[in-house]
Order: sequence, then structure tokens, then C-alpha cells
Amino acid sequence: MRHIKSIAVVLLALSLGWFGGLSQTSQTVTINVNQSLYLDCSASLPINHTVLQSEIEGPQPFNIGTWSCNVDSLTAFELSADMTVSSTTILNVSKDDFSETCTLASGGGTPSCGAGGTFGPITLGTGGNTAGSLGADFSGDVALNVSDWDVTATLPASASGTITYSVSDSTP
Amino acid sequence: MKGCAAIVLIVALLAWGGSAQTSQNVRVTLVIPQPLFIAAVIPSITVEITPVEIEGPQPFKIGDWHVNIDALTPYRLNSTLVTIDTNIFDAGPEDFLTDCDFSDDFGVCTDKTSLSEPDPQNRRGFGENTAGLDGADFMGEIFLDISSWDVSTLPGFYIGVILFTTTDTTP
Repeated sequence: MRHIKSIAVVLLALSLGWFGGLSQTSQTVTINVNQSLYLDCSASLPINHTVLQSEIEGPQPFNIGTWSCNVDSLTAFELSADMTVSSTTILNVSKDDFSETCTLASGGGTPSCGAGGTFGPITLGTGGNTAGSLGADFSGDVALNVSDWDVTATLPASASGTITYSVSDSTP
Repeated sequence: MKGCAAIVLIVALLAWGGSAQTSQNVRVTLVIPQPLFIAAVIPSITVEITPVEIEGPQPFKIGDWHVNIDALTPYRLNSTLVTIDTNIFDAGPEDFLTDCDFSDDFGVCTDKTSLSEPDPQNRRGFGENTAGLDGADFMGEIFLDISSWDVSTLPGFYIGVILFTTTDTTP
């Protein structure tokens, strides 16, 4: 009876392919990461500002708006910004009249504010992998210095520009 | 199936929404409705002519002026006297003179004294962008010469207004 049990075990083993590495199974896992960084600055609303007399008399630069960006990341990253600006009625307008500060960095990926400063480009913040969180939130102020402007006689004078926010992989 | 069974699992991380990107633009628009602001700092001048002033050297001082200018452009400052009313024969703006003896915050005085002629004779000074400062102050004195007056109706009076004007001098 003991002999019969042994034969049965061998047959079962053969049927399941346990012998001698002659049969195997495999499981292939392929993960595609099409994009490792996602930037959402939709909370940074367009800035429309009228320069007042009190702002001319006050300390330079003065705030003209705020910015706010959210970063979803699968890598160490750096958030930066640059600006283009032009005017046909104000002489000496340039992007170095504008500056940004980062006043808040929160959320996933251990974010921290960058130095900011006068455009450009400037570093607004850094962070790491934000998986499992709503991303890293950065926010701050946009400021303007008009001390070297020369407004021409065509009034009202105006200037317009575009601030471009970018996030890039900072993995060494 | 033995020996060749394979299970393929593909996990693709697709873009989380069509707006996902690594660069975004924010529009900035600035409007400057007025690049020059001028404010008179001193009150009105009221003078009663006394014998001492009639006997003394002409012209004699009747008061001071002081204006403050906020600017986002190079400018010049002019002042002109306009007669409002008088019953004194031969009294007019040409009897009044002025000077500019103090300026700050990039303001510069001129040595012109006329209150009745056009620029540059009535130019008090000039300056440039004052952003970040409390504005350029210009100060001076106002003088009167009554040597040509003919007062026939009493009480004689002269009422005038000094207009201070800033002008953009950007070429």
C-alpha cells in the first residue's frame, strides 16, 4: 500500500511539471511612464494691474498679483519661471522690472521654496516624488519695480507680458 | 499551457487629463493711466501792501510756493500766473516774479523767474522717474513789483492764480 502511494505522488508531480526545470511559467510586467512631471498653474490667474500714484511713491518693488502652481511628480524636480514683456508706450520696460517670491511650499514630495527673484529665469521651488499625495503646492507673489520706467506722452500707457512656469527633472 | 504560459501585464500611466503639461503661461497686463502727479503743498497767499513795501526795494517777497511731483517719466515743471480779477491799472502777471531755490529726489531747479512768459522763461525745474521716493519737492519764493501800478479805486485789489504744470519731456 505504501508503494502504491509513492507511485501516485510521482505521477501527480509529473502532471504538474515539477521535474527537472523542463517546464516553467513567467509573468512579464511592463510599466510605461509617459510623463513623470505634471504642472498645473491654472490657479495663477491673469494679472491686470493699474499702477497708482501710491505705488509710485511707495517702496519698490510692489505686489501686483499672486501665483500658484501644483506639481505631480515621479522624480526630483525644480519649478522655475521666466517672463517676456513688451510695451509700445513705456520705455525701459524689461523683464528685470518684474520679480517673484515663493512664500508657501506644501504637500507631497517634501517641497521647499526657491529663492525667486528678478526675472529671469528664476527658481521658485524644488521637490521630489509626490506619489500618494495631491502633489506639491507652491505659491507666492508677483512684484513690479517701475523706478527705471519712462512713460511716453501717449496715455494711457500699458505693458503686457507672459510669465512661463516650467517644471523640470532635477535628478543629477 | 504548461511550459509556455505567460501572463503579460501592462500598466500604463496615462496622462491625467488633457491639460497636463510641464510648462504653463500666465498673462500679465499693466496699465498706467497717469505718469505725472503734481500737488501744491502751500496754502493761498494773501498780502496787504504796506508803506514799507512801497518804499522798499522792488520786487519784494509776498510768499512761498511748494509743489510735490510723482513721476514715471522725465518731466519739466512750469508755473504761470493768470489774472482772475483786478481794479488796479497796469497790474498784471508780468509784475510777479518767482524763483526756485530747493529741489530733491532727482529734481533740478532752473534760474528762470518769469510767471508771465512761455516756456522756457517760466520753467521752474525738471526731473525724472521718482518711483520708490516720496516725490520730488520743488520750493521757491514769489515776488511782486508794484512800480508800474496805478491804483485809482480803493480798495485796490489783484486776484490771480498760479498754475503749476508738469510736462512729459520724453523725446
